[in-house]
Amino acid sequence: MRRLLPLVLVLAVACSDLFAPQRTDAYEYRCLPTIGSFCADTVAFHWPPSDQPVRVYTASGSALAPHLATALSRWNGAFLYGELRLVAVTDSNSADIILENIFPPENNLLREPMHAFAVGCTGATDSPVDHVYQLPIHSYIFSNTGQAVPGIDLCYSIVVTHELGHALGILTHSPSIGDVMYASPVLDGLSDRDRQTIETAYHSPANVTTTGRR
Amino acid sequence: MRSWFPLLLAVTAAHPASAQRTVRLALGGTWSSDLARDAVLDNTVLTLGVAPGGTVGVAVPITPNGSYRLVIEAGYSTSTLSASSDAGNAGNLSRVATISTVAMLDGAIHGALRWQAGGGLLFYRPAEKQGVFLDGGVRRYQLAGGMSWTHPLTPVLSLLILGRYSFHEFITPVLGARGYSSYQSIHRAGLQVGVERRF
Repeated sequence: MRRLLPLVLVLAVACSDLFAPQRTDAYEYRCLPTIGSFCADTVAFHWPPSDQPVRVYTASGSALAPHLATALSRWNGAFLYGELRLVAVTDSNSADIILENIFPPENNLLREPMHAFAVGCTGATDSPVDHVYQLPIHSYIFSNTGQAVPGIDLCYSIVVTHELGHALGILTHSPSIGDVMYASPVLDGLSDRDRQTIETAYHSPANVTTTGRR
Repeated sequence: MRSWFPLLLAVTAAHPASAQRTVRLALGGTWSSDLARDAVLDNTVLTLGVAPGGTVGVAVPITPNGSYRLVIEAGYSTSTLSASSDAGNAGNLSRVATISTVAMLDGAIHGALRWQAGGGLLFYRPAEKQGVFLDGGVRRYQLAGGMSWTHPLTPVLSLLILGRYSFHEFITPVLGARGYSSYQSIHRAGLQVGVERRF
């Protein structure tokens, strides 16, 4: 038996597998038909492989432009298995998601039910209607008090990442202030819970299709 | 890679049986077992495609009759990296190059058939920092072995067929940081055809 021990040890090592984390910290990412919700039915969305890479645009002179690359890097880096690939494009006509540094059209913030109310700036993103997402998805991110306010860059950085999270499939808000998807976010980056949530969203069934340009 | 050159020079000069020293060049393909599996995320599997590549090496006798040799090889291959999942939501990642460096003991089996066994280092070099290679390449220790067969073509040149197997444990910094534990056992098998020259 002693002579077999090294062989048994080698075989035991040679057959080991990675143990994946349980992602128990993921929060609800679907839009559920609860009181106050904009959804009449449970809505779950993620970008399918056929719609990738997902092209994101913001005007080059926009105050949001410096923060787009950071936000794309954050969300691209959340995935381990190529589930999503985001790229920046320079032509809004070829974009799937458009970030604009303006108040929502018709001054109607409620038209975009997914919001972020950060200190100094606000964001709002189109939502799917009747299980259909009309492309391009628009996100509006604007200063509450003017562009020259100290800290506005940090606020834009946080809210660009937050609104992009909505457009990628997190259709609700995190209950924790430690996550960028909190309704009034203060975290400039993704938390482990944000990563686990978007991973879960992309490995769970979706019931929203996209329509419009591609 | 540069650190190998002094070692190569040292071993090639180590033994007087110069007639038995050989250099080799071979081309072929390498198959690898799955790099990672995640049963929590709807059975996601990360797979390397069959990797075309090449190997250069030297074999130097370490016994007076030449029955045992030291073989040092460096191999390069490149392959696709793709993920699949039950729901079909995983995708392709950028290509990954692997650089293998091994030192092996070599001995005769029968006729021109010889065995090799040893170990070395394996380097993963992704074309882009993304996915499981978000922090870039990684280096792993490996056990390696295999067989070779030669057939004389000229007095100094022989046809060479190499069969290679190697084993290493795979994990990357980003996998560790995201809560993955233990290692994924990776088995690699390769078949290459080339030439060996005595000098």
